[in-house]
Formats: sequence, structure tokens, C-alpha cells
Amino acid sequence: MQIENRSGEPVVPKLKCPVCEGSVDIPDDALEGELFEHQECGAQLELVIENGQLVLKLAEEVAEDWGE
Amino acid sequence: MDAAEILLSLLRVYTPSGEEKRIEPEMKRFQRELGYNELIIDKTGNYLLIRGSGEKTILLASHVDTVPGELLVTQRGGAIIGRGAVDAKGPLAAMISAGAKANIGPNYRLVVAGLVDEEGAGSGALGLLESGFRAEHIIIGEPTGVVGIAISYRGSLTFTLTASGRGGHSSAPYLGDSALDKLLDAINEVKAVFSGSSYEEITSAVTMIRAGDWPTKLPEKAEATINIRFPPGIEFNSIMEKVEVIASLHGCKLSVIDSTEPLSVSLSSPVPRALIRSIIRNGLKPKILKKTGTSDMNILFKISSDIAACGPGNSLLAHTPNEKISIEELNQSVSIYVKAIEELSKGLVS
Repeated sequence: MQIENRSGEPVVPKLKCPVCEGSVDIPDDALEGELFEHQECGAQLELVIENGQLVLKLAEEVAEDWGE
Repeated sequence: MDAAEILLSLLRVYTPSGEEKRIEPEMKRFQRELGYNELIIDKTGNYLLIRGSGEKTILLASHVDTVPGELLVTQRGGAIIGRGAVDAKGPLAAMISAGAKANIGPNYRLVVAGLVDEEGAGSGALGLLESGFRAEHIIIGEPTGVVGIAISYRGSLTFTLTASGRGGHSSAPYLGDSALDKLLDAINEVKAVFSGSSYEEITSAVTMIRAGDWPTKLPEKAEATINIRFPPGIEFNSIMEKVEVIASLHGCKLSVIDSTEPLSVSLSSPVPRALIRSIIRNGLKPKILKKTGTSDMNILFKISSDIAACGPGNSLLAHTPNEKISIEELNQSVSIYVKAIEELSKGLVS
């Protein structure tokens, strides 16, 4: 789901990193569930909607895999 | 021809590394029947299916070779079984199908590559790199369970240490000179220096050792093969320098067998982002993977650093006698590749 305002235009949110509390720029075409990396602290974050609010939460831990 | 039919055609031709030429008639048929503009077979023997003629290139790269061990090709209960069904003819079939279906922007050219020798020395990917092939975006077709996106691979250094000694009788080792004792000292030092136990650390593993030819003789020659793996951010040269010092300290001869640089790609790079978005648009949840092994991605990273691996199949089944892939997974990956190609070729992700 694309994050849009009431007029149907994409929103450019600026959200807080749950790890370092720094500001994270989210592209205006971001999708709910999209994963981002906070450049400043390196945390991998997931864009979610909680109680109608866009928030970033720490993404599921990066999985390690020895296969091809 | 859908992805399952493409896969069955690929599997019915047994192509362990070195015998990839046998798949040529099938690749020619895919080019004709699926509407690719042309099929190029490069000097190394790689198959390149091409659509569009724009200046920029999106490369979908997988491989046509498999490990040895032919398996009966069958379709049963919504799954396809055969050598390479997972690694990596399944991902390749999904790429060939997606490449024929996707709408490509006018500025783009799409190349679906069936590389050779991925299971061997990687000469297919190296040949493509050395041919001067250029691409802006690269998706690697390897089994990542459909929703997995691999953006990080460890580096690898494999070498042998060879020790020599005068030998002697085992009844009085203090009078002799054992090559094996020197080698073991060197091995223990390598293990102590590269003693990591996680992805982010430098690890070492002794994989082969050879010494001695008689129960009561001190070995005059001893040789060990060691594989060191290291994460992105670690300089290959810094590892090599330490290994050289250890070899010299213990009087061992050092020979490098092969080396591969590690790599790490940002999630905000266009290819990982296009794949993440495409997986979400297909109603699935993307998962980021970091690989402990190496693949053609470590080599093709030198063509474009905008690269990620993604594909159908359970990697735990790769190289096993139980290689199978579900048709549902195959079709999900086709849809994921199509949307990712379309987004990349419109220049919508940055």
C-alpha cells in the first residue's frame, strides 16, 4: 500500500529511527512493509502503520544462510 | 510456454559443469518461442537472451550448469523434481519466463543470462566480466525462498600450506624433523588468529590435510588446505599479509588456490528496493538475507554494484538428491521479477 494523503498524493514522511532516534527520510512512494536502512546507525527498519500512524520498527533480524 | 514448462525443458537436459553446450537447442527454442530478439552465446559459452535495444541494461543472471548427479525428472503434487530444480534451473526458468513477459521501458535492454560453470570455478561470470559486458542493474537468480533478498556475501580465501622436514624415526622424534609438526603449528596459529564464530568475524576452517606414509616414520612432507571467510568491510590484503607471516614463521610454503572479495549492497540501492517493493506488491513479506557462501554475485558485483540475489527454491535442497521446487513458488518468482524489471526500467526506484 502506498502512503498517500487524503487527496491521493504520495506523502513524504520523515520518521524517527527506533534504534538511535535519529531522523529517517522515507521516499514519497514508500510502501507499507518496505524495508529501509538507516544510513546513520545502520539499523534495518520496516515501515508499518500502527494506530493509523506511520512508524518505523526494527525489521526482522537479517537471516543468515549458507546455501547458494 | 510457462515457467514450469521452461523448467522441465531445462531439467531434461543434464548439464553438470563442463557440459553446458548440450542446453543450446533449448535456449534457441526459448528465444524463438518466447519472443526474445536474439540469443548470443559468448566466448565463454554463456547464453544471453536479449529483449529491447535501449542504452541501459538490466541483467537477470542465473546459471545453466548443475553439480553432478543426474536425477529422474518428474512433476508430482505441484512440484518439479530434477538435478538443478533448485540450484539454479528453477530461478533461471522463472527469469526466462519473466523476461519474456515484462514491459520494458524504451531506454532499456533486458538480458537474461544462463551462465556456465557457476558450480565450478565461476568461469562463466568471470568471462562475462572480462568481455566488457555492461549493465546498470543486476538480479542474480539463486534460490532464496522467493521472498529472500541476498544483499551481502562473505569473502573467501583458500590456500595450501606445505611444510618440509628431514623426517626421522618415531621412536626418537626429538632427534628427527617432522614436517607434520611444523604444519600443525602453522595450522594452530591460523586458527588462533582467525578464530571468529559469527558472520561478522573472520573464520577459518581446515578442509584437507595430507601427511605421512608409514606408521613409524616422521613425515618429510605435509600439506593442508585452509579456507578463510571474511565479512564485508575487511580488506583481503590484511588477511593475506597475516597468512604470509604465519607461513613464513613456520617455514611453510604458501599457495593461494582462489580468493573472492566480500560484498554488501545498500537496501536503498535500486535493485534491492525494486525487489522489496515487488515482493510486497505480490502480497508477500520480503526478508533480507546475508550469505555465508559466495556466488556469481561476488564476481558480477564488479559489473554493477546495484545488485541483489533473489529466486524460488529452498537452498537447503540444493546439491541434494532431493532437489525439487514447487510450481507455485516458481510462478510467484516470475511475478516478482516482472514487477521488479518494470519498476527498474521505468526508473522509478532510486
